[in-house]
Amino acid sequence: MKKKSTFELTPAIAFMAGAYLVPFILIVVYAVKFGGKISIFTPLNSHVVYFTFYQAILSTILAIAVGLPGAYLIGRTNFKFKYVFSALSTIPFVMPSISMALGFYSFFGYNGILNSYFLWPIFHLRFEPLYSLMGIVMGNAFYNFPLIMIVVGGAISTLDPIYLEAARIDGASKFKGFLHVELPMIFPSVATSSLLAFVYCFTSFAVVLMIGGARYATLEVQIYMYLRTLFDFKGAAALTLLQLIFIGIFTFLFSILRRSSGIFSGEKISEARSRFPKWGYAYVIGMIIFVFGPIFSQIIAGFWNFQSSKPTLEWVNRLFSGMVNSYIGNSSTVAILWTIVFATSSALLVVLLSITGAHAVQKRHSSILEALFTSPLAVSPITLAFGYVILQNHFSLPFPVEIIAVYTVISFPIGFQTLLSGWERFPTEIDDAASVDGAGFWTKTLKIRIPILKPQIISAFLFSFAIAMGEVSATMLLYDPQYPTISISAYRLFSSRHIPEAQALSALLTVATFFIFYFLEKPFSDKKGGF
Amino acid sequence: MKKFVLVLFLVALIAIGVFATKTLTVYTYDSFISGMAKQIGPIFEKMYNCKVNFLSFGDSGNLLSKLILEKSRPKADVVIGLSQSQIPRALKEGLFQSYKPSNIASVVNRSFLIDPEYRVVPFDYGALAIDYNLKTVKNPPRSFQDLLSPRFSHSLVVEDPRTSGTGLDFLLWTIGVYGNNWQSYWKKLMGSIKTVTSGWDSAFEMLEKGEASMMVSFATDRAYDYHYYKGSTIGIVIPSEGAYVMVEYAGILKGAKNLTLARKFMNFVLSKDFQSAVPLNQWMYPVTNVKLPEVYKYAPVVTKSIFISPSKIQKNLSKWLEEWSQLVIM
Repeated sequence: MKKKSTFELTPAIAFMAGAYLVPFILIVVYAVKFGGKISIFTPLNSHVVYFTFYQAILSTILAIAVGLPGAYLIGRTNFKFKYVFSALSTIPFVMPSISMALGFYSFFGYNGILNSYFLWPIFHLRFEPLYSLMGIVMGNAFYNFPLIMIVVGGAISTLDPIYLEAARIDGASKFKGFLHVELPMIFPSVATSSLLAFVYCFTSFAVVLMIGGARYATLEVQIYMYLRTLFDFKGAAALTLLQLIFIGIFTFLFSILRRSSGIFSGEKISEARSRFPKWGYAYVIGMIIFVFGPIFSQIIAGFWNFQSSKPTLEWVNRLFSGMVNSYIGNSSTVAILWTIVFATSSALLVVLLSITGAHAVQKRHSSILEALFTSPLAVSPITLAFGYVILQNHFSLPFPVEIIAVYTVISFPIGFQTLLSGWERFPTEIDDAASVDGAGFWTKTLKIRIPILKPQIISAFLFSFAIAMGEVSATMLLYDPQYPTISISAYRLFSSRHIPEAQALSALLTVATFFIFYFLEKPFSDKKGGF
Repeated sequence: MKKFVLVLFLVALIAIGVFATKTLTVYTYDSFISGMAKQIGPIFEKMYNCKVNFLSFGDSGNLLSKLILEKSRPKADVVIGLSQSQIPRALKEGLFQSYKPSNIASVVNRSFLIDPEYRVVPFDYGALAIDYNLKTVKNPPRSFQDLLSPRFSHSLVVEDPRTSGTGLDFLLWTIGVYGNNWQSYWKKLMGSIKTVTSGWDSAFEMLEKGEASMMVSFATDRAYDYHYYKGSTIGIVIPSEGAYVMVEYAGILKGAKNLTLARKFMNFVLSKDFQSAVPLNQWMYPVTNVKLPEVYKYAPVVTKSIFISPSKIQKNLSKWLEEWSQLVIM
């Protein structure tokens, strides 16, 4: 038994050591090599650290403020489109950052849908959050409120109503009862999800770069700047060390909090009892405007002429006419093909590593390995990519290898956790019965395990595919213009100000994300919420 | 799986198709591609029966980074579009090889020939300026000092000197005007800045679309509007403290694969075909003696100009950029 789990563990361990730990060790070695010459606390760096915390705290507060009422609504009340609403509200979480930024641009921009079709004609005023701290905070909150809403919503729905009733009998108002009785009980889930949201805001890259503009720099953006435009590898190494220390602390805090809240336990949102409150309508309308507004206007902007206010295929035609090839580095078709190649390869790898790795970890009950395999969740893609840049000085990696490796590392935690929960529910007696009948490892794997784990395998594959498809930050550091991806091409079109073409290309990403999400959740067909 | 193999096969086919033809690869910046490259590319291709593949990576700042990154294994033959403020760094990195074009004598202003070894050759020049939207800015600034006025609060777009050639030149311009006091000028200027874009194109689009009312750009922008729209909504100011003249250069990379073709291209850059395409595509002035189009009467004439020596730039540039970042980045 032990031997088999070693055999199953080998691929995951070998991959994680080579593709994940080695690049990190190299960064540390590289930084140490500079020894005293490295200056971590320059005024600029302190400034960047300060701003990174500042924007992350503000963003987390907004994400909580938006997420908590939603959590209450889906956890406690019943309303008609509850499952559709909760499923759709989680889309921002998986939205590729380039689509999200372009969505903000087409919706909140000076000439965006909100301003030109609503605020300006009706109230004669404009709301301009782009290129400001407000835009960054809104962007980060947009990404992270679903996390809080779903995790806390799950916790609320499992609360026993008897406590609140007891408080009501003792004369507490509904709100007071919530504040003093239920809030303390759901506090662990609020703390965990907020911390996770904070970590994501802390490592925010595309939102800061595209929505904030060059005046704003988080650690992540500044590392990128050092590496890509200033060629100050010492500066990058210093900031990366800082980043690693902070992420290390957050991960440690997270692992403590996690034990008390069970964030990955996959609680399903159950039928609930309370009446839908009046403020709920305002909330849902607000969400439709601020969350679905950017998502839908992103897609629309790819097929809409804002000058004539008419639908058009002009941008799509331009995209495939070869006119923009010089900016992308290759044709849009090639970019789409490479994206499919990269995403498929890394998703297949994730599935392969997750099936075997999760099984071994489940059999051994190894919490150290579980922590190791889950840790890339908190690691910034830029840092990882920096490790690969250093790695390239030692080995010459052929181009697609490093991109696929990075995508695989980034998506592995989700695949791993998905398969782990699959193995935990796996009916071992069938496996044992097959062994008794003389089935070998391969027969069991192909005939029994894979068919039974099919839902988890599909979900791990699709999630990894979606993550790989939308990745920009590491790709920006490592890509070769001859092999562009859709996200990178859309970013290049955006930064060379071919915005309608960028919108059209990005619409492809957004729609693909919708489809993937639809297959994962099927929000319109069966009544299952949850994440 | 079958589909996956098919996709790989298709990609391989496309890759073979790209490599089969003999091609001169030219790295440049975004706005060169949309205008100049389209006009002169086909002429050169026809002259020498070859293909020219223009590639860009953003503004000229991104271009320089790309070149430094690929230094050991250069993928391009020729680079066109680095400005004089970037040349010291580029030469220090040893990016270029020496080649004296046969028609180098046609360059009118000899002071543009900053490299005695001819590793880089000038191909156009122009003055920086503040562009403003005539509709929204009724009382435009006359000088750098005017720009600090509260009436311009949150309205000027500047380019990031770390990623943009124009941005770098603007920074050097202010350093040229204010000397050691440039930092206190920028501190006050922050109130007037709406955003810092990574490149010129983004800034220009913001001005065109009404997203911003002023930007750091070039003195010929009004002429550009007259050429295309027979009128202009853009006003131009060259601050009274003096103009900053930017010169752009081309050069052959060390390790260029198509050296013969690259040298022909360098001669071509100073030819009449190329130089006469400069004014209406680059919206800069040609470096040889070709006739300027009529609309150039709408570009203000430079009377007084600010100059910083290349050696001073080379010595201080990284320090200035660091200081700038500290001032501007939030």
